[in-house]
Amino acid sequence: MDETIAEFIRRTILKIPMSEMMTVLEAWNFLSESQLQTLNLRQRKDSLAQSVVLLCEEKCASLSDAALLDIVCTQVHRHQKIWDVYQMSKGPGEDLDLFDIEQFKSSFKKILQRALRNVTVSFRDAEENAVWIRIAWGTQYTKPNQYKPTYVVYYSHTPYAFTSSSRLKSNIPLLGQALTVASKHHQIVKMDLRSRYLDSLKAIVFKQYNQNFEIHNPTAPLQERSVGLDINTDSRIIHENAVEKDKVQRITQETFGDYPQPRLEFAQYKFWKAAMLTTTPQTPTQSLQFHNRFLETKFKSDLNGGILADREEPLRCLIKFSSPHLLEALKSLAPAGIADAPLSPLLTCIPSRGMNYFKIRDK
Amino acid sequence: MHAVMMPQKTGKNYQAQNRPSQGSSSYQTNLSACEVKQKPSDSKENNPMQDDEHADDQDGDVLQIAMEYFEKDPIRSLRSKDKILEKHLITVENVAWKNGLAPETIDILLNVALSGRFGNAVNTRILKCLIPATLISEDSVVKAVSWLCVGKCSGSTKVLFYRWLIAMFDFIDHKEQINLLYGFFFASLQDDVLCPYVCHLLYLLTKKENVKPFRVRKLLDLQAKMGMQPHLQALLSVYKFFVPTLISVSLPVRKKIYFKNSENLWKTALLAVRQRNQGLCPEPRKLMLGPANIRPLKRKWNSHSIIPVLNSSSHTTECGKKEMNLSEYLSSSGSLPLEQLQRFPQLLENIHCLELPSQMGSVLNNSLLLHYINCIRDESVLLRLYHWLSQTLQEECVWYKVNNYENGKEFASFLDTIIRAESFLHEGFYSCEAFLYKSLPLWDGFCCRSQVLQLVSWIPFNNFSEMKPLLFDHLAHLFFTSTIYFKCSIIESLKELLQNWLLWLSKDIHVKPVTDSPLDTSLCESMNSVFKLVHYVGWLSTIGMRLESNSTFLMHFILDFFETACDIYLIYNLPLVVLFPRAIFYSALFTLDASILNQLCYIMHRYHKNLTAAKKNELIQKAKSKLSFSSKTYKEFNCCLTTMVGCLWTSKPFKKGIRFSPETLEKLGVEEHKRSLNLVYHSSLLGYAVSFLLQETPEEKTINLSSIQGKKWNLYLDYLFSEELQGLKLFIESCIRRSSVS
Amino acid sequence: MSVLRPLDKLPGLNTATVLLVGADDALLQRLADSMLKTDCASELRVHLARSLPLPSNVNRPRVDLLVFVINLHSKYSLQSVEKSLHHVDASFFLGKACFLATGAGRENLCSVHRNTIVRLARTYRSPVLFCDLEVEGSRAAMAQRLARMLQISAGHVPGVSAMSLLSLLRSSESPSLEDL
Repeated sequence: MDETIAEFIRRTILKIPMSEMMTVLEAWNFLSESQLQTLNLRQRKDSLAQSVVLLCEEKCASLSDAALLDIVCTQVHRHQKIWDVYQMSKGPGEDLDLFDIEQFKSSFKKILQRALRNVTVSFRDAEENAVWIRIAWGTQYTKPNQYKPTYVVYYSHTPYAFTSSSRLKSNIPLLGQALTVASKHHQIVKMDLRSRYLDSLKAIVFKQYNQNFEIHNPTAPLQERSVGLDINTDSRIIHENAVEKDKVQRITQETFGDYPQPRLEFAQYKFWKAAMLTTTPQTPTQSLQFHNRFLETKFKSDLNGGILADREEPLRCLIKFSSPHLLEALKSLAPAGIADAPLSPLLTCIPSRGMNYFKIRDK
Repeated sequence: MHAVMMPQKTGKNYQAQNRPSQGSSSYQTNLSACEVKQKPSDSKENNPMQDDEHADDQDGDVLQIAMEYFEKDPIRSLRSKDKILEKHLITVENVAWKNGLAPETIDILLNVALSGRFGNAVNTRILKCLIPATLISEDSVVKAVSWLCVGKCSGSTKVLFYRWLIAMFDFIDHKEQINLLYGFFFASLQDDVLCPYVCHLLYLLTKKENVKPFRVRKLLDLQAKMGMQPHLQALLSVYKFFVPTLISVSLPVRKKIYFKNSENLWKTALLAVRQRNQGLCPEPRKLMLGPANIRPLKRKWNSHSIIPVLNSSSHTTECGKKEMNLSEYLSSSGSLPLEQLQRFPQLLENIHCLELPSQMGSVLNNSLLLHYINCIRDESVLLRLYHWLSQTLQEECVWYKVNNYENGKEFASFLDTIIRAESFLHEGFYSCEAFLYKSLPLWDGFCCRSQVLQLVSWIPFNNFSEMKPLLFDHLAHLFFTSTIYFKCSIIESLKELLQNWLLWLSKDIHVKPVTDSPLDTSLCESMNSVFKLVHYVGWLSTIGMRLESNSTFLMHFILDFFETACDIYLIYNLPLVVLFPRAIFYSALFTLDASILNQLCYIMHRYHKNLTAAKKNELIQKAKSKLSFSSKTYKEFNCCLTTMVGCLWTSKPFKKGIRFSPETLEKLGVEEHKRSLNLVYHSSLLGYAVSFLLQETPEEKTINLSSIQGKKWNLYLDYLFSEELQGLKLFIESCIRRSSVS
Repeated sequence: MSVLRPLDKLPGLNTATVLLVGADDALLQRLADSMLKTDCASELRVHLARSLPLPSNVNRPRVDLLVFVINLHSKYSLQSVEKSLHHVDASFFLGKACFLATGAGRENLCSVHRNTIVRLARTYRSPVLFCDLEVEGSRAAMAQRLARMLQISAGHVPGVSAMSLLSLLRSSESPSLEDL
């Protein structure tokens, strides 16, 4: 076994937390049951890694085996990467072809190899018709760098692919090309949607997040909930706005549904405003407003000498919302009395429009 | 209310001090573990055979072997020793995190880590587990620094070593030798990577004599090169503290934190060590004159408690030569290490050559230094102290922070320390005053209540009208909306405030030379402020009584205040007599509680004395005196006195004022109203009268109160006096000519 | 949906009713719980409202004290109180209304400056109280103070009226904290 493969396996093992070691190794399915049993999990991680490498040497592990281990690792720690979403489309007149996964794999690999010569492409089939692809990039003249691979998750029969963000921007067009050709699509577009949570992204683009919503009658759980909220109150405490509160609850539920929200950690809004013009010179201050109901941003400046006065270039601003669980946070804004219900559609449209990067231009 | 709380506090402290003797089992284990480390030779005989101890013993043995390995390690090939090294390292790590390492062990390991014998990873692991059991010897550090000069260790190891040194600074037993290396450390500032850490170390190490012009120049050069770096600023600010004349650049005054505690890798371990050490020498917290309490450790920035501790403890070696002569000091260092200052005579001897600690906050816990600060009257020293205090108060104030319970307790004990220092000096700190002005408007009246109210009572004397919107209006706001207990506490702390002001004023007046016009305008103004304070409390009291429906409890506190207020002229020798409001007088007079009546009598007696004395004085110094007590005061007092005598003594109440027609009174069934307020029938004394009669004639079936007349009246009076109604006695003796009545 | 008036109904026997108005439900609820826990001679009723006007179809007792709760960490909370203020009869501000600002301590989180509240309260000639409702102890202390004020404004403390308390709480024009 090559020294570099051994080193690669060793480093990969070191990345895995002790508690997940066995699951990962079992999922890898390279070492036999009996070999796994010989491993002593109580020892220090680097000695454990050493013994795993020894076992692999016995079985003469290849680079593709090592790459598979890396994929399994990434599958377990998928939330450690930031995932981009790509949407592909068919050209006019192109019909549904019969899709063959093996054909997809081979043509995908072929395209990349033809272009770069040095590239390691590995596949691992996953649940729900998904295939995980790992690409370690090289160039015509250099060997593939195993330590900075790109991961792609492609769901067969769908136009969506998820890729881990990589620093090698130059390879992205090539990757897109390989994906479109291999999956027999015509065009590929990067969506304005990114998150750490691959499953949430999947739920958003496949519209799986509101499945419960379609089935259940929305008013029934609402009443249960509002009753549940006041269950502990003293009879001496009277909620005056119970009706209004119910209304807020209802609106919130209508917009967000009654199920757990897909998990996103940020949403970003970029505004462009054309150059400022002084409209009413007699007022002491001039103000410029974006009205999006919730995203209300005001710029105020003194008429003379303010930063916005005599501005030639367009005004830009960037608003970023971030939270460990953004959509749940937005959902609780109105019930918590922090914002009016309903919220701005700009905020609530994130799952339905499948984007969390917005560019808004002033008309 | 805080008067009630204080004893509890001290009680707790007392318990805390006693804890070692009660001895929880875990504590004992720790203690003996430390002993093991300190004298490994006889550890076996000392230890009682317990399971825990046994385990420790075994640990010790394994550690011994590991140390031998590290100490006498010949050059072996890397491969072969991998496993053995690993084993020994793990042993050391385990022991270090569990019990800490003995000074000798640390010495050996430091040597190993910095000699570059092993790779970086091993060095890092060793440095990370260098946790002292108690202390670190200075020699080890000096040796370690010498390894730095050899250049065998990598940059990252050097950085880690400096970080370790900073974190462990408190635990190094002496620092004189290390201080001699000041120049070496200073030269290391050149290294861009090391610079922040070296700055921090120098910040901890700098003494006055280390501050030299060339160093200042160097620092300023560095700052010009690297920009305003917080670590450089920190060092510069220390230099500026010591020698303000050398540094003319302005440093940001409001900068709070120069070094981040979060960078401390050994935080949790240090806490454990600290607890171990504190357990060994439990420190009494009371301030007292006499030997200052020296804690074995010095904490600076990475301190757990808010108040820093005085500089290093060299007392272990120095205590032998207690008698040090003056010339020795004059010739040698020029400054007496603070930790050697233990007794008042020492303070007196060395008062010329004391150098205050770089962290002024530490003086709060040291009574001798408080004396010193008080007597040198050095503006800059006070400024340093006030500066530190204001910053710390602002930073630590609980209601400025995300509140948590622990934090609250810590802040409360910090305030307690300040209050102790204030009452020790009998003087308020200006920074506390400013803090109160800033934070009282936001105070919820709950958090650290007793401390805040005590701080109020230590506010330095000031113009009342200026203070009113800043302080007294907010206090009134709280007063009117709070519970009766809170009202009582406010009145009580205002009483203490009045006492403090009066003391200060009376002292001040006698310091000033007596001029021809003794009553200059400033005195007039001062008296006016005091007058307004008393008036303000009178106003609070009147409304408070109304809000609390004439509560006796509150009345006690109010009368306590006026017991101080009525004696301003005689006790404090200040030309002022302010009467209490009529509302208070009447509700005290018509009370149901004999002790209130007794207190009222006492106050009336004192007012009487004061006014008489003032009148007499006025007659004597007629020409000089411009401050004549207004005749209104006399008139009002006389009116109160007449009413009181009329009610209690002559049974002719309210000669003037509202009168009811006899018919009305007949209808109400109180024709006998005239005597119903005298000493026999007064609602608070009725019980005394009855028991007096029962005592006189126990066999009598019916009690005839009206029989107390003439001779019996006198007997009754004696009975009342024998029942501890001293105030009443004084009042009757001074204000009533008894012979004329009986 | 109409203007809230202080004296349009007869008082209930020994009951005192407080109306807490503020956007943050959960905080109001906790404050209400603390108020009911206080030791108070009168029978307390606590009404909670996100905003005014109150729905008119409900029969409710006379409101003796109106407390506007403003969370300094949320501009929205101030705005909603400002809107609610339009639906209050002026006579409420003769001692039967006050402002409660919570969270002034944690300055780094404040999006509303406390002086804004002080000014607002001054405009309405009403007292303003500061506390931190998130903290158990502070909340309990505040609940006690509010219960005290409620008793007075409900007329349950003989000899003291809502108006007289108001005159006591109205401090002279104090200099702002920044001038210090």
